[in-house]
Amino acid sequence: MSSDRDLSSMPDEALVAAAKGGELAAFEELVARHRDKVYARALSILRNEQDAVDLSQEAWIKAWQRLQQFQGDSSFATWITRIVINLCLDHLRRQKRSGAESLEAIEQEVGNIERLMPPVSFNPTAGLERAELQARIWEAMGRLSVAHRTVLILHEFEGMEYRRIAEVMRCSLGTVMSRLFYARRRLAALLADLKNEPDAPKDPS
Amino acid sequence: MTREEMLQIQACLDGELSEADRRACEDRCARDPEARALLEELRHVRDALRHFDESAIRLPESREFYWSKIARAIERAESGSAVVRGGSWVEVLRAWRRWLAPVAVLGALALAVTLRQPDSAPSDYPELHLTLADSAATTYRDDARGLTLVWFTWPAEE
Repeated sequence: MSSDRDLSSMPDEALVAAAKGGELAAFEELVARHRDKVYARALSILRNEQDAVDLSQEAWIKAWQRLQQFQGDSSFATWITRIVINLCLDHLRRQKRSGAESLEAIEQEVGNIERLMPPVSFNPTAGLERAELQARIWEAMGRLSVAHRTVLILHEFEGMEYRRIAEVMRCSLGTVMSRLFYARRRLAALLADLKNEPDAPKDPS
Repeated sequence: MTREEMLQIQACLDGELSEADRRACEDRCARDPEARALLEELRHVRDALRHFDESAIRLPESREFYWSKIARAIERAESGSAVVRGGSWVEVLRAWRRWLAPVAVLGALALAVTLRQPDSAPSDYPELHLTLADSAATTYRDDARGLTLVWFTWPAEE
């Protein structure tokens, strides 16, 4: 029985096993443990607090329903993060159908800009305090299109290879490389601009 | 530099090239200042992002409030699926019931034809046959009068 055990001291694997057996309290402990990370991933992609809360909760509900499919090939945290990423991408695709900004919309918008911009010749984050660095990166990421931001997040934060990103985003390998390239170049320019702006951007937290 | 060359430099930085391509890319960057500058810019961005700490981002809701919505949804989904499962079973039973009446009719007709065969021994007394217990189909046969009646309820009694 869950009341006989200290769930907070149990490793994820044991909680997952208990939850697979139908123990909701064990699943609640997993939620408590990873909810910030799941929410952060949704927020970093969507940049909308309420949508991020809603989709992160939806991810947990799906995780409960699909828990028997989780075989432990990756960590539980990785698994639940993949679920919320997929939900965010589905959400963005629905928005695309309703006419909002699409994952594919900016290819035409950017054209060949990345070829024309000269590389930023200095490290735009050098010498910054940690909090300021955090705030500037968050601000600059927020100025990217959702498609560019997402490909950066999947590559840099989730550690996905090009091919895996292409699968998740349902696009070609070439598109992934192109988006990632533009996203990085744009981010470098944004970080350089932010360095010269007098007002410090808001901290994400 | 062509677009493909630029993407090649990026792939080199990300470790996505074969060993031979990676060496060729590094040689190119070593002798070409433009390629080197691009590689450095991409590297700066990659390193900056690797220092970004997402643990500073906190859910703007309490644990209890956040969980309560999840728990309610799970409860709803599970009770809903139980209803659906129950509903499906009832549907299966009804489908079977729908077949019982026609089967009973066919069975009764087959029986009537069999009993009408000329080589069947005539009986002095009428007979009453209950052909299929579940179907409520019944056959009345009177050899003396050369009469066979089959009757059944429609639809089959629940």
